[in-house]
Amino acid sequence: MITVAIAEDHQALIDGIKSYLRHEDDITIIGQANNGEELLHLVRLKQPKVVLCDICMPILDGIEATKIIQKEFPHTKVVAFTMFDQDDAVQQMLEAGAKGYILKNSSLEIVLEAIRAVAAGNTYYDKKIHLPDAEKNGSSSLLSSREREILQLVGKGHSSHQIADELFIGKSTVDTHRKNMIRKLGLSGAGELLRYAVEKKYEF
Amino acid sequence: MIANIIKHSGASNATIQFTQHEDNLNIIVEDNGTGFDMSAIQRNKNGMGLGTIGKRIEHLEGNFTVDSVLGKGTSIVIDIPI
Repeated sequence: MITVAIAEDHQALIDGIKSYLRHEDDITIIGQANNGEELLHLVRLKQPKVVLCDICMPILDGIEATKIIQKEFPHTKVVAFTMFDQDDAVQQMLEAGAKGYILKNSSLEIVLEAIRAVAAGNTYYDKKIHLPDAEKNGSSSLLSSREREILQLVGKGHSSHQIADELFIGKSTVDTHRKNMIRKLGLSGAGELLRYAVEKKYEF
Repeated sequence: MIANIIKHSGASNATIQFTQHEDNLNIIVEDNGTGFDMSAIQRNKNGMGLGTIGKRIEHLEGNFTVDSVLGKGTSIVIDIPI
């Protein structure tokens, strides 16, 4: 039996996964957590075989939680479960000890495949992600140092006006950098860039 | 443009960034030099070599904007259709 814990701060997503996995005879959901701290408590209490772990969570994020879990319970397999295909996030989760990495926009079948794969001792990476080895410089190298500087401020919630004032450049220059980053990272718009920047905080 | 940065800006750092979009090429040239008074540029668009740059970009049916802050630097954003 594969015992699974889910750590995710969006309850609807947890409910969807639980509902889907309920029909699988070889899988039992032993608990859920809404932040990294709750997850650690749950893992220490029930020692699941697999942890499906969001990266961006309050109190303690998925990367730190994974490091602690791997140190205390090396036999527990962590599958990272996140919003974006970010090379640095993949890198950091893998370094923390995650054995799988899947995207939240993947089908529930992928979630199931990943759980079974890591429980069997294999690794599982969503086909949509770029593994760090495949692109050694990482996505951050796609961006210029100025773009990374602006992305960091975007991630802090600063407006283009504020960023322009802080960096002594024009608002139109900031907007152009934003547009270029959206293009380079293959994002759909300003909202996704903001979400990306928030998750990218791990790099800064 | 680069010659102007080297000759006049006193910048210790300058970057030139090219990004290709679907239908245009974006170029951003930024330096951390002395910058200049934007109102002087507004009064005389042919000054500081910007007139020449403007004509070249106009010839390519592109457009450009200049942002400069005295003592902090200058950024020039150019979009050229491709």
